[in-house]
Amino acid sequence: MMPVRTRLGLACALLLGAALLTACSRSEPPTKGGPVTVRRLTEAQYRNVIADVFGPQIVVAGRFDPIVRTEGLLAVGASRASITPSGVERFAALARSIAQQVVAPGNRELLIPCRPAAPGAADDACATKFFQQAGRLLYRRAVTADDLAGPVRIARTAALARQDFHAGLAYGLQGMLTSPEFLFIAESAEPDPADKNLLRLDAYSRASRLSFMLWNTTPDAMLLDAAARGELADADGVAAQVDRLMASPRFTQGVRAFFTDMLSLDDFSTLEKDSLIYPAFGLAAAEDSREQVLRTLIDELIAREGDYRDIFTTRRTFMTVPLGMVYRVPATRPGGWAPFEFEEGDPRAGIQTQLSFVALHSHPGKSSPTLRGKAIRELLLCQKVPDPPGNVNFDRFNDPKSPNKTARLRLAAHATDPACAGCHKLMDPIGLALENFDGAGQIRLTENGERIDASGELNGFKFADARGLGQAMREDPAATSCVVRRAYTYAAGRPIEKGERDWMADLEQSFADDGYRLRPLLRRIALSKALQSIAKPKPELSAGGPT
Amino acid sequence: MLTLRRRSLGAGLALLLASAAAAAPSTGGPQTLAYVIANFNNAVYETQFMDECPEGPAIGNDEMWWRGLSRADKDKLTDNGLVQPVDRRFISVLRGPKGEDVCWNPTVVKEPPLRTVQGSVSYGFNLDGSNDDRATPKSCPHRNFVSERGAPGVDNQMYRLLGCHYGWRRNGVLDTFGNEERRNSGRGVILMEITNVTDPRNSPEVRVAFYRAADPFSIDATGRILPYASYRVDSNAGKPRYGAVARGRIVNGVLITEPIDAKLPFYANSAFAEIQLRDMRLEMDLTVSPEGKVQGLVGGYYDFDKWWEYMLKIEFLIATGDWSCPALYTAARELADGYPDPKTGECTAISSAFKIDALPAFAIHTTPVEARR
Amino acid sequence: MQVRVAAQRLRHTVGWSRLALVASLCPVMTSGTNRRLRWSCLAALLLAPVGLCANDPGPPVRFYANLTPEEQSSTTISPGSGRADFELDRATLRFSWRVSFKSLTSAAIGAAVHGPQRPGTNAGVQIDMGGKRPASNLQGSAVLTDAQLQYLLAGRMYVNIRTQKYPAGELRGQIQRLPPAGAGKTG
Repeated sequence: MMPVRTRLGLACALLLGAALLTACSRSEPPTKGGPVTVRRLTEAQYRNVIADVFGPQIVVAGRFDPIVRTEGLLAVGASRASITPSGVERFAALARSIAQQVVAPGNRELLIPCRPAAPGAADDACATKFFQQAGRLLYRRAVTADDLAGPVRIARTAALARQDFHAGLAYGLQGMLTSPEFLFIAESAEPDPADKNLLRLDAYSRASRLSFMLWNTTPDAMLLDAAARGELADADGVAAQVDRLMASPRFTQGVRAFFTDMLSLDDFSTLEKDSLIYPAFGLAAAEDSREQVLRTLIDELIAREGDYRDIFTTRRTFMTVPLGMVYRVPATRPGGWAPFEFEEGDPRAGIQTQLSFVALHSHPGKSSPTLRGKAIRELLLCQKVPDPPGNVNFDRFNDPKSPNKTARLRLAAHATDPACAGCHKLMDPIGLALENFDGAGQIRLTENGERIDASGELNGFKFADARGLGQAMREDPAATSCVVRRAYTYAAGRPIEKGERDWMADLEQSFADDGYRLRPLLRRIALSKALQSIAKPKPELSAGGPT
Repeated sequence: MLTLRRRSLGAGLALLLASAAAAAPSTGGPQTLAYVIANFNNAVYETQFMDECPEGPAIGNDEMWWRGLSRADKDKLTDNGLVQPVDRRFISVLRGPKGEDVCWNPTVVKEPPLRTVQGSVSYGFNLDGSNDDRATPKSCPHRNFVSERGAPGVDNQMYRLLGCHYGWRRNGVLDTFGNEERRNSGRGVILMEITNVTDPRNSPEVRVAFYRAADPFSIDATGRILPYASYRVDSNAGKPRYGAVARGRIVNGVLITEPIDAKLPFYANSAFAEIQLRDMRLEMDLTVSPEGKVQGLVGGYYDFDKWWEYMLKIEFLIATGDWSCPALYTAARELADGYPDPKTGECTAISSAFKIDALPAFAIHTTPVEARR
Repeated sequence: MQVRVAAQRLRHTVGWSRLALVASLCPVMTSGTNRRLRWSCLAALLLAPVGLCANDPGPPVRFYANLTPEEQSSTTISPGSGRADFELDRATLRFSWRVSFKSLTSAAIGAAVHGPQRPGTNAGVQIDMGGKRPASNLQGSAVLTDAQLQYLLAGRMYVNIRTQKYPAGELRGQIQRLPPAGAGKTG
C-alpha cells in the first residue's frame, strides 16, 4: 500500500503531466501530400505584382482571360487555367504598355538601377543588371543565365535597331512579362529530408505560396532573401516570415483577396439592376456594397479578432451615402465610410443580409430565394447544389398574372414537384428566409400586398426570419468547417486530397479551440507541414515496363 | 408554415416601414426626421385660360423697349427682326433717359402699370391674421385672397405681382431652370430636420430646423434625386451657417410650424440668394409619394430689398422670364404689404408663398472637432 | 365628329349636375299633353343661368389684334390698317376669327397667325386663316393644339397679312387679350 504522501505526489505528477500535455499543442496529423500546382496569375495578383515591382503609378489597363471557379475558388481554378490565343494577345498588349511606362523618363530613374554607357546604343551589362533585379521579383526566384540570355539578346537587337537603349530594354522586359515564368506560378518540389516518402516544396515555391496566401502578391525581397538563405526549410524560419507577413498592413489585402474569392465578389462586375424598379441601386451602391462586406469582415475578424461565427449575426457594418440610400439609414461621413450599427431587433444582422449577398444573388428586377439559398449553401456552407436540369420551365414562377403573390407561394411547385424538390429543398427554405429583402436588398414586409413569411429551416434548425437564419448558420458546424476548408484550398491552390482528411479534422478542431478566430487559423495553415508536403509522383506504367 | 416568432420583425421594422419618412428604427424614444428640399417654386395659382390675368400677360422688358423705338431703330437694332429678344437683352435694358440700366434704376422711366393678378384665389397663408383688406400693426392695406380650399384672408402679394408673368407660371422656365441648376450643383439646398417626433402622424411638439446641406444631391440615371441620402449640415466651426428653428406640430401626418423670422439658403439661375422671411411658416404633408417625395407650402413676408437683390442678380434672364423692371418695381413698392417702415409708412416686405417638394433624408451633424479639420 | 363635339358642347355647357337637377325637377308624365309640358319644363331649366352648374367652363375668351404696318420692318410703307377679333371656346379650344383690313397697297396673298414670338421678331405660321387670296371680313376657325393655346395665352401670337407688294407682310399685330367687360384695373 502506498503511503499517503507518495499517493498525493503521484497524483500531482499525473495532474501536472496531464496539464502539460494539454497545454502542449497537438502535433499535426501527417498527410500524404498533394500535387505541385501551376497557377496562372489572377487579375488581382497581376495588378498587385506590377504595382509592387514597378510602383503604383504604372497603369495596368486591359482585360484578362476569366478563370473558371473550381471547388468554390478562383484560386483553385487558376491551377486549371490556361491562356487562350486572344489571352496571349491581351497579355502581350499589357506587357508592351507596362514596359513602355517602366522605361519612360520619370520612371526609369527609379526603376532601372544603372545608366547605359551610351543612350543610343545597346549596353548588355546594364541590361543584365536590370533584368536580374526585375526578373527575381517577376519570376519569384533567383534568375539563371538562361533566364537572362533571351531578354538581354532582345534588348540588344532592339536597341541597335531603334538606336535607343531604353526602347530596347522595353522589348526585353516585354518578353519577360509575357513569359510563362511570370504569368504562371509554377511550383517545384525537392526531397523532404525528414520523410523519405514525401517531397516538399522548394524554398522559392514555398515563398510564393505564402506570399500569395497572405498578401496576394509576389514574394517581396525579404521573403526571397529568406528563401535563398535556406531559412524557409525550418519551422522557425518560416514562422519568422509568416509572422512578418501577418503583422504587415498588407495582410489585410490578402484577407480581402481571400474573402473576395470565397464569397465570389467578382460577380459584382456583371451585376445589373433594373434602374426603374430599384432607382437607388446604382453603380455607386453596387461598388460600395462589395466594399462593405469586405470592410465588415476585416473589422470583425482581423481588427477585432472576433469569432468567425459572429459574421452571421453581427449588427455592425459600414455605410456610405449610396448605401445609406438603399438601406435607408444615415451615413455619418458623406463622401467616405462611416461605421454603423443596426439597432437591436433589426433583421439586418449578419453578412447574409447585406447587399453583397441579397442584391448580388437576385435577379435584376426581383429577389430570388433559390439563388440566395444556393449562394449560402455553396459559398458559406461549402455544400454543393446540383445544377438544374436543362429542360426546366420558369414560366410558372415568372407569370405576372399568377394569383400567388409572394415568392414562397410561387415556389411551392419546387417543393411538390418531385423532379424539383430534391435540389430545391436544399436552397429554397434558406433563401425564403431572406424574402424580407427585395431584389436590391431593400427591406420590405409585404410583396404584392401580401405579408411575407420568412420562416424556414437549416439542417434541422427552425427559424422565423433572417435573424433566425443567422443564428442557424452560426450554430451550423458546416459554416466553420467551410471557411477552414476554403482557407486551406486557397493557400494550396488545389482541392483537398484524400490523405488530408485527418489534417482537416484537426484543423477544424484547432479553429474551434482558438475561438474560431481567423488569424490563428491562417497562421496555422501557413506554418503547417501539410501546406509544403508534396506527394511523390506515382511511377508511370509505360509500354517498356517500369523504369 | 407557422411563423412563431414574428416579434423579431417587431417594433423596429414596423416603425421603420410604417412611418411616413425616414428614421432609424425607434427604440421607443423620440425620433428625428429630415428632409431635403428639391423643388422650390413660387406658389402660383393658375387657371387653364389664365382668367386671373384678364388683360393678358405682363409686358416684358423687350416689348417695352421695342415699342419705344422708332421704326428705323427697330429695324437697325433687331436686324430686321432676326435678332432674338434673348440676344438683345443687354441693350434693351439700357433704356433710361441717359442710357441707364432700368433694372438698377427702375424709377427713371415711367411705364404703363404692371398687369397684376385679378383673380380671387391663391395659395398661401393668412400672415397678418386678418380677413379684410385693412391695415394691421404688421401690414399695409391690401386685397386678400381666398385659398384653393376656400379659406379667406390669404396674403400673397408676390403672387399678385408675379402671377401674370409667363416665366413664373407652370410653363415658364424660371423656377424650372432654378430647380434644375440647384439639383445639378447642390448649391443652396435647404435641409430640414424635425426633432422630438414622438409619432410620425401626430406629435404635439416638434422642433423644425432649417439648415443648408453641405453635400450634393444623389441623382439616379434618369436625373431624379434619390431619397434617404445623408447630408451634412453646412457649418462653420461647429455652428450651422443657417439655423432657423421653429416650433411645430404634426397633425394627421401634416407638419405645421409656428411663425418665425428665418433666413433660408437659396440658389437658382446662377444666383445665390437668401430668402429672408418674416413670420415664416411651413405646412408639409409627410406622406411619402411613390416617387419618394413629400409636398408642402412655405410662406412669409419676403424682405423687399433681399427680393429685389435676387431679381437684379437674375437680370440676365429678363428675356426668358419676360418681366420689365420699372413696372415690376413700381408695382412691388405699391403692393408690398408687410412690416411698414415706422418712418415712411412704406411696407418693407411682400407676402409670399412657395410650393416645395422635399425628399426624406438624413441630417448629419459634424462635431466642432471634425469641422475644424 | 360633329355629333361628338356637339355632345361635348352640350355636356360642358349644360353640365351633368344640371342635367341631374333637371331630371329630378321635371315630372315624368305619360300622356301627350303632359309630354309637351315636360319638354317646356326641360327647356326652361336648360336655358336657366349658368350658375346652377358646377361644370360650366365659362364664356369664350376674347382676343384682338390691331393690324398696322408699324410692326413690320421699316421698309414697309402702307396706308393699310385692319383689325382681327378672336373668340376661343373653352370646351373645344375652337379659335374663331374675323379679320378685316383695308387700303392695302396690293392684293392680299396670305393671312395667318404666326408664333411663338414677341413683337419685333418673326416666327412661323401656326394657323392659316385665309388661304392664297384672303379678302377682308375673313372669317373662320380652327381647333388649337395645347402648345398653340399656351403661345396664345402668353401673348406670343401675331397676325400677319401678306400682300403682293410686301410678300413678307404688310400688316401685323400682336394678338392681345380682350378683358371681359367690367374687369378690374391693375393695382
